[in-house]
Amino acid sequence: MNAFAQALGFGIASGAIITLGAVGLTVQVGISNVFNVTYGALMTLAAFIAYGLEQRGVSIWAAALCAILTLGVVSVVLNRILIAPLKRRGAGFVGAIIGTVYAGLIIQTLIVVVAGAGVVTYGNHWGPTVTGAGFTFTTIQLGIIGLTVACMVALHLLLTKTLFGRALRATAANENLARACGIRTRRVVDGAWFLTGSMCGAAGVALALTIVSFDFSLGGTFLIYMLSAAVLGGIGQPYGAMIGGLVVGIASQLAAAYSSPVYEDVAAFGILVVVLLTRPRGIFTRRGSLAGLWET
Amino acid sequence: MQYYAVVLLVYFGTDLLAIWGLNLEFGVAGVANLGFIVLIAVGAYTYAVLTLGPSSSNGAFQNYIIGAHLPPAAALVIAVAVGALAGAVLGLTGLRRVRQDYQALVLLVSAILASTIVSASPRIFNGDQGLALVPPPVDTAHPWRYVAVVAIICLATYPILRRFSGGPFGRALRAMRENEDTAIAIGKNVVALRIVVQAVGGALGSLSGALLIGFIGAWSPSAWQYLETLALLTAVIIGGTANDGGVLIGTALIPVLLLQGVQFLPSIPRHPGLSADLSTILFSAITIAFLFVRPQGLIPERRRRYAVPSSQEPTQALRDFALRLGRPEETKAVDDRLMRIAGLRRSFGGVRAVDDVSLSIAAGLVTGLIGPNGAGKSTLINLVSGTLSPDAGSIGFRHRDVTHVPAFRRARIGLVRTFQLAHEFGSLTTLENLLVAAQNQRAEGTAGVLLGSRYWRRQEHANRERGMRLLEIFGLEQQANKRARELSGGQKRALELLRALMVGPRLLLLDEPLAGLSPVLAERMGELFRELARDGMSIVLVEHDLAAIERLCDHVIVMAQGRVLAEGPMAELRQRRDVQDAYLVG
Amino acid sequence: MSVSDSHMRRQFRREFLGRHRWSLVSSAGVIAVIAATMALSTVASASSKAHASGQVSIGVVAPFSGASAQIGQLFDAACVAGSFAVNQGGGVLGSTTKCVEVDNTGDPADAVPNVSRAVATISNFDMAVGLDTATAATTIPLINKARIPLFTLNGLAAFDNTADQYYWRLVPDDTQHGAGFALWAVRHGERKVALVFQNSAAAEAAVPGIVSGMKHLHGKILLNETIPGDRSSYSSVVADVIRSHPQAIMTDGDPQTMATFFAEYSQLNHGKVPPIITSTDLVLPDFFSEMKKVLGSQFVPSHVFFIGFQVLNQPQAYAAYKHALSASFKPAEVKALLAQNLSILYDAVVIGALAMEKAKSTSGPVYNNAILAVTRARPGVVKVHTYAQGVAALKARKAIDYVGVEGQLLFDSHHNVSSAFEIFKAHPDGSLKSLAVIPAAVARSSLG
Repeated sequence: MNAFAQALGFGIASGAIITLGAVGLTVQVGISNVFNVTYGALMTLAAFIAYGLEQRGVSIWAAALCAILTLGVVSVVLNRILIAPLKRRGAGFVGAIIGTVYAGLIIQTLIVVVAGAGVVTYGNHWGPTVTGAGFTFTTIQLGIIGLTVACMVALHLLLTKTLFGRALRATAANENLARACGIRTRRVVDGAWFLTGSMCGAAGVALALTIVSFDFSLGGTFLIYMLSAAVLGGIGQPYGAMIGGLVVGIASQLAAAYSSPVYEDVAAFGILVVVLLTRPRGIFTRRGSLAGLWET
Repeated sequence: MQYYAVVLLVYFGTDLLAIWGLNLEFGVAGVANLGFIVLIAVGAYTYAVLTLGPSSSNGAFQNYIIGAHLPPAAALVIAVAVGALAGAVLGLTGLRRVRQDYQALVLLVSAILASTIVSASPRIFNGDQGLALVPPPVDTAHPWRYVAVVAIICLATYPILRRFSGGPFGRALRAMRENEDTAIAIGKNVVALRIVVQAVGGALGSLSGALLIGFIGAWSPSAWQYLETLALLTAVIIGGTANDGGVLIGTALIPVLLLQGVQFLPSIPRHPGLSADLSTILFSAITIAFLFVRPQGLIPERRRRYAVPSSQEPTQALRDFALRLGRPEETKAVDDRLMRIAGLRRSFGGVRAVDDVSLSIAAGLVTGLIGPNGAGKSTLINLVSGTLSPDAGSIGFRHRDVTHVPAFRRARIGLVRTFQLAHEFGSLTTLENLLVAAQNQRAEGTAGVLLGSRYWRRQEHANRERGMRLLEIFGLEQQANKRARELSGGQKRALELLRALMVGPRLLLLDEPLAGLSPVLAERMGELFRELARDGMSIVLVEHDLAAIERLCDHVIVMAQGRVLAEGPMAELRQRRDVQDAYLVG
Repeated sequence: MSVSDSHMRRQFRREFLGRHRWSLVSSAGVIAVIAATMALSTVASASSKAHASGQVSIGVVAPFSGASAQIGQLFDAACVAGSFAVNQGGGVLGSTTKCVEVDNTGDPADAVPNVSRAVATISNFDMAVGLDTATAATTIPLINKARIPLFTLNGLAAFDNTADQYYWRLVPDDTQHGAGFALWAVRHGERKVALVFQNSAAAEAAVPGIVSGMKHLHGKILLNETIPGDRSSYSSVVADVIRSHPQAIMTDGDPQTMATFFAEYSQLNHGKVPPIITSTDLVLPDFFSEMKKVLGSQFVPSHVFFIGFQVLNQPQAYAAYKHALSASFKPAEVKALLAQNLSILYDAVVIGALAMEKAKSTSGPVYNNAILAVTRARPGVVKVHTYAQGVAALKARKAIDYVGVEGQLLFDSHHNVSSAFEIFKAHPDGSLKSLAVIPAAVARSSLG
């Protein structure tokens, strides 16, 4: 087995989950101008909701769908009651980000209170392994890659072809102007949070399926990867995050393959810091579908 | 029971030091260092590897670097120094002037990464097992001595802390926190300030960690997970940011009372960890509530009040002194062309906001800059002041090429701007808004901070006098000790101008200073402009009120669609067809 | 224009006091708060620490919250069994015993206030059992300072030569444990091994012993990688291990990491997994349930070898232990608990109580040395296997040697025990069957 090809394959598989999460995260930042650090805890919440349903006899796929949709709703609520108000009140961006950090802690602790601190699993849904051209994938990994690709295509179509998508881009570029043009910005923002919340949930369940057995700390370190991917691609740039997710996934797996496993995290973080210090705008400078917020 | 009291007091003391550091960073300077726990860990580990013997001793069960077996005092000093360095390194994440919440996030992630790396590196700090059997600095048979040590260190640290969080240096930090753009516009090097603040915060955090490990004797990654910063941050937010007294309350309430007190709740069978979990949820919820309802904390930041000298009739000499800012050199410009702009270009996306603009500004004149909306006036102002950088072209000021000089430095050499919407430092008093704008303050330099008020008292007093004289120009002297955010709209605009004057500009860039002012106030301002110009200052005035422009300006520049359309006296420009068309077309 | 110096000074001084007014008020407030906390704890602790008659508290010092909360539950169960046995045998010097949870949270810094508070407020806190690896280093000195005899299960090598006389370690240290791994592998014919340990304190502890053991026995370590916990995939490490073609994999970590790792291994290697040698620390309900759900119920019985200190299961003592458990827990729980290696904590409680009886005092400094006295094998000494037996013999003024579920305990001068190691395999129902025993001397000597 060629080590490089294998690592590349692993990178693509993990990159798919990172992309799924990072795109949701970056669109949230694009639309609300606030980093939603609760994202990690929300991913964990989705995984546990699916687990809870599955324990009660629901099929894992139906449970996953429920969890994903629930998370869309939870995210809308989170924005309405926490993020938007904090932003408005002059706690400012810093206050909003601090609020989301604490909210994440609350959610994580609630998970422990309700479901305990122990390890849980959906059982092994990996499916048969597929090998080819030096790559090795489990069926579930292929499924997740497929899901991610489908989501990205759907997102692209949504943003470019639908009325909602255009309203979303307008709201992200200039909320006041959009409102003045008659766009129901409140609804658009809600819709955007529902959408990205669902992506967050999907990423959480996908992660749980891949990791097989997990506990309340599921979304913890993963934040580094999603943030890295979002930054690399440019905050607010969903297409950037798609590329970013792949790059971060592959880079970290290659780093782990050619040195010690801890370099997986270091690689992702390194990308984050290097981009930040050299090209904070990310690799996509042209304003994509959503306005970047780099310009002062 | 005695020992429990000792533990509580030692923990209170070390938490206090850490929270003072975090308060300096976040409360005073507005740097949300969500990775603060790393600095505490730096202190603990440094102290440990310096006081432990070589790792091969004691059966070599622990792997770590150094192992110098130094005496505790030396190790403590070195740990503090290392902490300051680590803090500065963390501060480098703000080097490119990233948005603050973004930097906060990067710092949070650094904390996650740091504990991951240490856990995975068994040879540096013994990995996940951590270090144990750190020699106690004080004989363990007399634990109260340790309380005394901690208390003495806290008391000794407090005045040093005050030098940074109070006085003119602290004032500059608070200004930076309130409004970074304005702070830059008055010449504050915010990047350097932040790095200094992070270094001091790092030193304090490190001190806290070193003292703690000296007491408990061991340390491992489980003690410094990234969420630990939150307990400290809560103390700052609840106790009252930027208020050292409030910090005391916050420290007592959160780490001590709340986290300990919860343990006294009866434990529920089958859910033994429930009380700990509930306390976490509780303090998180309380913090969020405070962010909403009372972001200034229980004890809000103090207003710095200065004695207002009895109002005397401001003599002309005093006014001149204030306005001229005691600059003895030439008041008349030697060179007519104070500023030269050549080929300046700036685009946003595909739009050319400023398209090949070349012009020059003369000294001693009031120059108007007019044009329809979207002409590029604000962009030009931003380019000249340094807020934006040009795509092409050059800007010369006082025989220097300032095209690539950062904005804060431009302010320091006399290129000062005001903002269209009043950008005051809201929680500072009116007088402080002016004081912070004074240049070359000894108090803001390293020497000033370390040497204390005796060193800069005189200069500060002189600045206060000058500030009061400036306030008197617009009758604001009675508002001197009011928080700036409580001023009326017109008063804020006046303050905006006065602040710019306090810097001692040679060239004033005024972005719509008269908009929305009462006629009386607008007239007074206009008079002031003319007076300043007579004294040799250059003023560039962006305005929409063409009548005022005609009245005040000697020379007018018309911009349209990013280009300079015409220049000359207003009366002449009025006649020109292309100027009229530009305003109609827009 | 100039203002007098003294005026300036006065102004500054006024400002100084005004500025610090709040700090002074706050300091007063703070002292009040601390005093309130102290008062609270005094109220909460019903009585003083005098050793008047009253229920003896046995502190179970372990994490009861956070990720390792399961450990605390298990330790508590063993203590409860011991306490039951003691109470049934008439209690200690006329008082009953009770197990009290002391949550040390798994965080060494948070452990200190918690444990010292417990020491301060729990009445008649005369014995302690427990300890996990993460918080041991800060907790042990605290309890020693309070002069409370502490029986622990963790083999932290740091405390091998400790001068803390109240610290009694009931298991051999981790280095010997590692030697046991090496010995078994070599004896079993697996000379070429891959080491994949999680980088947590508890898991990694055995590695140094394995490394020197393998070296001494002329085995070969093909690769030695540590893995972080909580990762979504270990693909690169798994690939490395597969490529090295090991005859066995030595490992330890938390159940979640193990499940994820071996599931990936199985997938990537088309279902072929070499024998897995691990520690009895992994004999946890979570481990079995996770592995079963993820790799099927046959995986653990067929692949995994658990190495831990030997449990002799002395019949009489074992029967008493089982009886005590059954009195306090439901049958299903008893079954699970019996599968864990917790009986040693039950023994500890019994030993402590017997020592108290012998020294005729529940006070730590007084009965601490009696612990040695009731566990020493000498000619002419009466061997007892239950608390009731021990008390009876003591009343008859006989010298006793308690040989409990663990068998004979041999404390050395540092109050550490060395024991033999035993290798187990699991039955499908989760119970363990013993395959072999490695005597303590052999384990020590294989370290070179």
